[in-house]
Amino acid sequence: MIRFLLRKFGLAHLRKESPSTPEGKLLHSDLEENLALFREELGNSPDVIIRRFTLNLRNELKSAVLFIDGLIDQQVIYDSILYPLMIEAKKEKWAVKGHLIDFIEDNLLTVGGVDKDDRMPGLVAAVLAGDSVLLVDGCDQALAISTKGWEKRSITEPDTEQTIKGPREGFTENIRTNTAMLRRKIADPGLKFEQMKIGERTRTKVSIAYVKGIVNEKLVEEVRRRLKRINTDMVLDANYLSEFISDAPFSPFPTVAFTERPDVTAAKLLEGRVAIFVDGTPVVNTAPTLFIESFQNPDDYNFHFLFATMIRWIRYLAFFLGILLPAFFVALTTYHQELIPTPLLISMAAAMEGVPFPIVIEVVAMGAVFEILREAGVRLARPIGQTISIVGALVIGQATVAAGLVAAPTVIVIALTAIASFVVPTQQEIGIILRLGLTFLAGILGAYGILVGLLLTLIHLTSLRSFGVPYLSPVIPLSIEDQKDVIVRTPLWAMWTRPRSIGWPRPIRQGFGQSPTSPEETAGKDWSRPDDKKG
Amino acid sequence: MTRSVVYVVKKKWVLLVILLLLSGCWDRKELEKLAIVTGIGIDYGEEGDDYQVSFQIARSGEVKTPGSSSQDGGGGGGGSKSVWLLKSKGATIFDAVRNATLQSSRRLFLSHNQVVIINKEVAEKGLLPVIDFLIRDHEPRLNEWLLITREQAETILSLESGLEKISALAIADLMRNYYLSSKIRAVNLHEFAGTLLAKTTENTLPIIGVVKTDQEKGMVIEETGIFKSDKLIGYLNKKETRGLLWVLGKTQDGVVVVELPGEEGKVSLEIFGAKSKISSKVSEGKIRFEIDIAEVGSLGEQTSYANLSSREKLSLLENLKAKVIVEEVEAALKKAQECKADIFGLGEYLQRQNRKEWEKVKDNWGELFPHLEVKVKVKTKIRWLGLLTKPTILEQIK
Repeated sequence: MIRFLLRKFGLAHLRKESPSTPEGKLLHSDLEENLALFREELGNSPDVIIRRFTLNLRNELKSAVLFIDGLIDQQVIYDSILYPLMIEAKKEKWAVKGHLIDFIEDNLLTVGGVDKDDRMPGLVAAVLAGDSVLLVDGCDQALAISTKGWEKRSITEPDTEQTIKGPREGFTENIRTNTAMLRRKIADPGLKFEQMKIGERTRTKVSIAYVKGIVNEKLVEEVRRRLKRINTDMVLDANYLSEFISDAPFSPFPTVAFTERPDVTAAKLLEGRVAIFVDGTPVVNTAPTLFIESFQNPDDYNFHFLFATMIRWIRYLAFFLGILLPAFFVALTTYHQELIPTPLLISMAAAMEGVPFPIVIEVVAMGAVFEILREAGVRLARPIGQTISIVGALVIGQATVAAGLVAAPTVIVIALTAIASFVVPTQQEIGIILRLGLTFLAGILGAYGILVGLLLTLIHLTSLRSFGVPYLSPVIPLSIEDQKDVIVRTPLWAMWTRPRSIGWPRPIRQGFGQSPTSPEETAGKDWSRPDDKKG
Repeated sequence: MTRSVVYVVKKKWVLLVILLLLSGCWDRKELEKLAIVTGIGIDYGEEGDDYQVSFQIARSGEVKTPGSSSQDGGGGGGGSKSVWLLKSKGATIFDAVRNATLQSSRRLFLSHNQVVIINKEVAEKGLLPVIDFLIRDHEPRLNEWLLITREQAETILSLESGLEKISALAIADLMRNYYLSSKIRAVNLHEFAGTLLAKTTENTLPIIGVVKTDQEKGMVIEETGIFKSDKLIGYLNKKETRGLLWVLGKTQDGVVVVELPGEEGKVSLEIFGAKSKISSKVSEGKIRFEIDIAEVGSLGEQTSYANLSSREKLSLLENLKAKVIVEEVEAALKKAQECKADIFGLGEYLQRQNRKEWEKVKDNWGELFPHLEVKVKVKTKIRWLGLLTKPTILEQIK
């Protein structure tokens, strides 16, 4: 479609070509010429530092270390590059064997990662990533030395996914820290990471994580394939990726989930999913995603299973309220007044006396006002933001009712809807679209319109797949044994299989029948896991 | 996507949106543009052939819940202003409904109508002409209560209820609470229409009237009307009404007052529930019915000073109660047989139990009914005594 439009408007040349293969200029043997090459590529930015020094091994050689201030850990450069090369090298008479650069790499540099390179693109990329490049006069090769270090945010609890009883760690913007946090959760050697760089100009490090042996290899293959075909300028956030790889880009329902918590990510990986880390953002994508996942909260597993089950019911209720309440309100009061109990009808008619607009308009308008308030509250600095939200809601609500612009029942409905829509945070995107659509349909066709809208949504949901897995599993298609985490949260000792739709390579995750019992009952029983025997 | 596919997809969505926008909203009824009718009254007009229909319309603005800011200014609170009685004439009921729009700024909304009050002269001529609209039209519901009155129906609708702001709602609640006294025969349109379609059973409807105190007029349910098909032909007083309810098995609560022998006082015996079993027997060409009533109750109140909690006293009370019940049922039977109206549904029991016999007599049931032998047997039991066993006084008469 894009191709069609571009051709139509004669802008075909604007379409991005695939990135060019990294050929590049070779280094020269002369130091100054090499430095000139670098200056040509990087320009005269004030943060590009060239530290010239004299290397005294066999004879005095002019050398330079090139790095970008701000991306490097200065201590490493001082202690592990400059000190050995400037001071240690002078101390003894080294017997230099072979190529000078190799000798330096072998004997003098006390750093973890050293790469030898003689092409510009690789070296420039290394400098931009935080490495330092060592150039020696007379050598046409350079060393890219790992010296990364910059200001980082410390590990804090993510704002949007707070738990009451669980761990308070959240991912940070550094991909290495994040993968390390995940490694601490899953100590299994089967945890594998695959790294790639996506984004022509941002060269963002993207890591696929999965647990080999549990995950379906074809899924990993598919994720890899979809990520590889991304051809874009920038990848700044996890959502940039998820929009490129999702199954139904026009659907409001997310087929790629996201989380900021390592414990959630670990749980999802251990069910057979794949996680995608993106450098520069604490948000991690997981795939495949099911509809019920938005109703599952890490806190569910930290509380007693009966309590968690009830809270889950409240979440489902809140979700449906958030979508259907305004639509039903509109449908009942506009078309089906006979369904409202008589005393309620009379007091509602009293409250709506004198209000000029039809109820559809009122509901949509108040919904819009509420969204404006919410958005403004998010954008403003914290103390002002909260005040404005509260004051705005109260004052505007009260004033509009008193002025007779909007009826009181409408304000109540909108307020309840809004609060209900916050209960399941991942459903905010879906909620707004569905709510608007259903309200509109209710205003046109009454309860029949709501029915049609719900039917269309259901049809869409049942045909949706996330990386091959049906979106509404395990309800549709029905898998009875997987119902243990859908509507109820069964005790943990009863969850002995992984979800069939995702974790089928290795379906059994714990021993069966481990509910707490008396010692007499457990005597003589074999608690080893079934697949331990299978190996 | 190829060019042609894009084109078709675009076309389909546009079509759908246009369809929705052009056809939508045709059935819209704005809430504030509705006149919510809570009660309908039907009288004859002056010309004799047309009807005068009164509508009790709830004035939403005045029926406000406390705490809401008053934006209509003034008024409110007083009962008279919470409803508006709109009177309209028409050749038929439907005609009168539409003629009401000549006076009302809002469209009449009948879906919440609670009661239909019909003047007795209209009832005597036949109810079907007036209730056909109520059944045929989609708006009025079948659970409206039907009542007859000797006054003008508009008088009843303009009465104020002691407690409710909208008197039609009060009448509806009166009907719903019939079981508390078991002296009211409450019938809704659904039941009335159903009985009209029955071959042998006849209808009954409650009669509402006016009770006057010094300053005010209030509503009261007085009697029950007996119908032959859809025409009013006779009346049952309160005692006879309860007799009818005993047979129908609709007595769930209420008080039976018995007099102790020897002028020792009166005792109020409360009814907790009663079941009636009707069985038909055909012998020697005669049809006999037996009505067995089993009732359970409690001692609710006594004006006597005696201790009535002993088993013998209670048995005595049970027998007295049974006698009263038999009297009531027989009184109702007598009235019904005078009017030749089988208001108890005895014919239907015969149909169920003795089909062959029923086939022979079903067309003649009206003439046969007064000559039927009906035996009434009552068994009562007093199970509870309330919170007292003996009356609270030191000296009791044993």
